[in-house]
Amino acid sequence: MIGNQLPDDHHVVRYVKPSLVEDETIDGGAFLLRASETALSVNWMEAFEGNRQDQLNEVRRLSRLNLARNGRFALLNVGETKRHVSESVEEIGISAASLDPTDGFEADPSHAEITGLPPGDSDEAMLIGDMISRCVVYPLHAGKED
Amino acid sequence: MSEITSERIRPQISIDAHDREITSQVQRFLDTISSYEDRINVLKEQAEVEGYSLSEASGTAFWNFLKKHPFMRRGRLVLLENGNLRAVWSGGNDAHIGLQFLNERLIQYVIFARRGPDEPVSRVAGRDTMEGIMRQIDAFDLRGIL
Repeated sequence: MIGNQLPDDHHVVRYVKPSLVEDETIDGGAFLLRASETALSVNWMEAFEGNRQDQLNEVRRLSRLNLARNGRFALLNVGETKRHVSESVEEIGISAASLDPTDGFEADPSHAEITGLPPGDSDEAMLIGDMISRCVVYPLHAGKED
Repeated sequence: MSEITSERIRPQISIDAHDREITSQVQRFLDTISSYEDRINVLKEQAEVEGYSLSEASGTAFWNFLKKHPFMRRGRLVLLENGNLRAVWSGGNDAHIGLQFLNERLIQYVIFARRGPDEPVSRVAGRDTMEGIMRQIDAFDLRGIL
């Protein structure tokens, strides 16, 4: 399933590095595109069965990132995030973009993308990042479990 | 012996209270500086693990800003992937100020403010000088959350 918009009542998580979290609060800098990116990588929770914890465990297991214990997964509701951010950016989308197996990594059916964001080094991108950070559902979830 | 009246001691009380207030403000400033120093050391360590480092120009700009505005509340402080420090203050009624210290001359700002309880949230982002940034904040009457 690539390119399909995720249902509004579904959720995605974004892994956030420790340097972008203080007092268990996510900074908007966690939602900026890098120079080489055209979409923001997230994971679609409902791609997996089970409760929230089971879903997160699968996201962690299949992640291709170096997850840190003091990093955090920020949970976003798809519809709420799109509604809120569309007050400033009309074309925002959150769609499935599953990853094929490669270089020793298993396929990741949960990989998804937030599209329509401005270039990461722009002032508008930081504004949108702060808007997305206001949609984060607390509490946060540890990058790695003990 | 002259009679002690409230009128006679009032100036002394006032001076004592003034001294205490100044002492307390200075102590708060020193505590804030110390807390920021600790935080920056943690951020530097985290960034090193993540493969980037604090920009010297951004660090200098941050400390210069604090020197200019010593009696602000401690904001949340994060280190962006571009090596810049970013401080964020939040207040009631959706008030929000995010300042990214780009270099010794320029600060990127994101401001959210609600003009009244039933008014929509105004959102702006841009860049201004160290001096100009306070005029941006004052335009939204948000000096109080700093």
